[in-house]
Amino acid sequence: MLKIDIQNLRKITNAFLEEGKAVYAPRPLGMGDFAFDRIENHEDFQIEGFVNTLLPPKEIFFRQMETIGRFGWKKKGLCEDVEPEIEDKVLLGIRPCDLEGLLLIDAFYDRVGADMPYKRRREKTFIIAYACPEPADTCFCVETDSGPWAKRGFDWQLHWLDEGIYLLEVGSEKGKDMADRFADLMEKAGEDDFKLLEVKRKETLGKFKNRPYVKKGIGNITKVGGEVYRYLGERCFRCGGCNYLCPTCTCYNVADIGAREGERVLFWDSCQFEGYSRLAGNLNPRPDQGSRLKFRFECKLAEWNVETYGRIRCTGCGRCIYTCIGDADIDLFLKKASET
Amino acid sequence: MDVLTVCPYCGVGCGIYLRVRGGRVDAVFPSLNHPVNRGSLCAKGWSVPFFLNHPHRARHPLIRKGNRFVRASWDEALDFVAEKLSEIKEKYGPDAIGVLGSAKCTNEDNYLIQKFARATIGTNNVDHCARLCHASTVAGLIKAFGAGAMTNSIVEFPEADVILITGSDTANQHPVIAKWIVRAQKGGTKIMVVDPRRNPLAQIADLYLQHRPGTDIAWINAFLKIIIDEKLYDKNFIEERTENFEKLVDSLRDFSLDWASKVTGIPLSLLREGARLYAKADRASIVYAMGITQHVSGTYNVISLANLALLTGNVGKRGTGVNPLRGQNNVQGASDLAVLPDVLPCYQRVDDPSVRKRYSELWGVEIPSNPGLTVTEMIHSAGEKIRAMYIMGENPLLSDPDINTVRRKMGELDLLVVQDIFFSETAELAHVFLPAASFAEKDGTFTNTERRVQRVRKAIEPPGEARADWRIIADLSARLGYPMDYSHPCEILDEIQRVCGIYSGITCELLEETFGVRWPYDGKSKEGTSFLHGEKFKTKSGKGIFHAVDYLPPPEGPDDTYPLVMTTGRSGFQWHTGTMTRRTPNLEREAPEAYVEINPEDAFPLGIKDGDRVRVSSRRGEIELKARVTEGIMPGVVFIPFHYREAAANLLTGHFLDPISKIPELKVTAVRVEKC
Repeated sequence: MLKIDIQNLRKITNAFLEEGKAVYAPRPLGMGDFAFDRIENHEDFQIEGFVNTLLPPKEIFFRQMETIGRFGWKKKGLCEDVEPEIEDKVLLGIRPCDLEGLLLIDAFYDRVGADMPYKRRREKTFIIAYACPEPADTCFCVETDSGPWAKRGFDWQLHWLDEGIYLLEVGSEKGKDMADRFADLMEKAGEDDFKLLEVKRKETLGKFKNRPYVKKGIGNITKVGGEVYRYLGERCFRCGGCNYLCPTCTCYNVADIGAREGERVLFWDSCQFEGYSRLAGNLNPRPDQGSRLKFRFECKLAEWNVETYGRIRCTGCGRCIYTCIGDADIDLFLKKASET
Repeated sequence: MDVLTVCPYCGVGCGIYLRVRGGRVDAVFPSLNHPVNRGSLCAKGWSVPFFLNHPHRARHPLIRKGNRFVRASWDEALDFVAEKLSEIKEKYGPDAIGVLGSAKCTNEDNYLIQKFARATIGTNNVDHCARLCHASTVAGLIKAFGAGAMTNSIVEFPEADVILITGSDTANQHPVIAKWIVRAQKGGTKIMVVDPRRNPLAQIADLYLQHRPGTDIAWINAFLKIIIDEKLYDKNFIEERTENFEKLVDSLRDFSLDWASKVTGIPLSLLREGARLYAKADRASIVYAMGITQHVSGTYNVISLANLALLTGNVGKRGTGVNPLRGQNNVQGASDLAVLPDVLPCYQRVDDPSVRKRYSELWGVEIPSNPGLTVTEMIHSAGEKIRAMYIMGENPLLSDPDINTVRRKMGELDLLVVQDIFFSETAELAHVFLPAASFAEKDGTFTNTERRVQRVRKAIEPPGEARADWRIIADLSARLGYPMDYSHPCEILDEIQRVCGIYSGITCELLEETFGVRWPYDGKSKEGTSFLHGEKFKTKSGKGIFHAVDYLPPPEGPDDTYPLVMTTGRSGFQWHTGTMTRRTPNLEREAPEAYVEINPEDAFPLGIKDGDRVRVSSRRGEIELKARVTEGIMPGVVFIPFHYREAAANLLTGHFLDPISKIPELKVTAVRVEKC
């Protein structure tokens, strides 16, 4: 392991920016809000001092809304594709839950083989993960095996030792080459650093809210009764927020906006909408909110995920808990499922 | 780049970030720390970028030439409007011109449009859609408490022991407020819903009372009677802080609970249970919306709720109060800033000479003394007393009652100018159409339902040649000989805070440091005032005032020809006349077509099954739409959302007005339903 401080991390960031890489990192928005966004200056990012960004960094690759084509009937007629921009990217400060989310989305699109802007954007991404020292109340990555530090998928991972001082773990060949390149900005970590890391990790784990029901609830998923879904269904007000903020949700819809001329737009969809599963003739295999919630929880937690993706598709980021307008979130579901 | 601003849909005023890439907004997300939404948004809020980027956004000024609209330059269009307005003013006088502001526009836009009406044109004929939603709230709460606004704040809901929700489909119409209510229930607060429709909150409520539309005063008076008879009222509060208690007691002496039960359809035992639940709570909060206000008895409905709060001492402390949920994002602000025909900014009566004198000095022109006409009055005198209308950001051709009459009347105007972000139904009748910038394309402030004045920030440029509303008004005003020299909306806000007491101290600099400030701002707490009437009411005497209120039946009850009562409202996925949401694919997919909710008891004898097409007719018109057979609506009542131009519920509604606030009766219309 290596050791780096924030000044040198900024120097490296500056080098990335100078050679034309697109650097995406958490940026303070004021009044405690943060967003993962493209930065233009190496002073613009902040990686510690907050838990996570509200919007998962998946949005950088899989846009909330993007134009994939244009059409029109004027003159000769117009019908053209709009290609996503291809950049050499650096993702700096992504949290382990969100990194695991990206890996799951990768696996999903690999499996279905869709030609998505997502896939083209994901190529050439250098990932610098940030192991979380401080969980929020809603975090439960420890229970879903996706945090608070990442075990795969990163080129570098930063572990917090003290304010502005990190251990740097190399996670790939690419990461090793890059670390060699910037060797003069890092030092080798010593025995004391490893000891300190162990202490810090223990502290971090101790800060998680105890959720023994998560694993039990996941184990019970096939046994959950209709009354649980009915209860939650009555309390879901269909905002779509749980899907939109989920680091592993992949569903989208495509619509043509405009009549004589306009755009073909690809945008996030939510399985919590009635129209999502509505078929021709107004038939709906998931006719009530309870069945739609059941679909979502199973899509994230059911055993077939493990068979297909090697793990469940919830990374414990907790976003769907605090964004829920009603009282139908995954935390409550798992509690109820564990009591089944 | 992410720009912090305010959601443009409802009055909750959620803090949102607009993500700008390549000059377009292509994502939206909620603020995690905003005190109102804390990381949540509803389906509409999540869909904001769609309408911003829509190819139908208006890009150029248009002037009607015969039956066609021809593209014009801004100079041509504004010169034309100025010339026509001058002609009409000269020929018929300033009161022949009517102006509509907009609860969707900023405080600055609205302040200027009423100043334009009063100072530039010289008429008090200025109003906006608050007339159709909470005019009765303003009138009623001013009578009872002295201030026509939500008494308490959104974050206080979890502190209430009981929340009484009536005439509000909160989960669909103010979803983020429903979040606070649901969280409150989780923490032990009891939820009581009184509503003709079993809406989502009614579904999970601890107590649900289903009453007939238009019988609000009957159930509220029953509550009052029960509380008085059982001595559950707050004696100290009544003695120290209220007036006219005896009058209220006298008025209820012979009140019959059996009669109330019969009229409302609520069993007597449930009336008692509800009254006790509310009265016994240490802190009880009342939440209401259009189900209370949109009646000919709207003002008295509101006053009745105020009676209930006063009787039990549930005003002037945290977690209590009478809390109207304002519909539009800035209907509170547009009302505060006097886009109303009878008041000047901050609800100062225009017929008060001292008020007029002050504004005449401030604005440098004589302010007309006679209160002007309301929206509905202006439209109904179009072509007669009213020769020209200037409409900013409203669509009365779908939102106002009795659309056939509205269309005919507005067609008789000598000049109709419509200024909007889309070419709306109303624009089709216009002589001049002016393209406006949306909320994401201009700076300014919105005031949410809890009086929180928040900064709206420009994120992108307007499409084509569209311009900010305040700029259009200022340019037009200059052409009419009354220059309005502002280079930025913050300068307008600065003028507002100088002329209007409740906005005093609220400047752009202050708003920069917070997620908004709730008026009145005392210079101390950065977030402003959490609840009103803490020490004193804002009435002249400083006391809360009881009013004896008698039940007034709706003007058009069911009869043999029109045996059902239609009540109108909204879907959670469409917004008002749909200019924005109907262009948003995921929202349109969720609520693609008009429907009528009908109880199986009514549907069965008519041979109507779920999904059948039916014809609904009233004395004024008829529409065809799909039946949704549901037990969520009580027998004898049908519900139709008013968003859909292809089956506009307002073709059926009538022109019956509350005599005090002039709000139309939109909740009770006698109709007949037949299978097509």
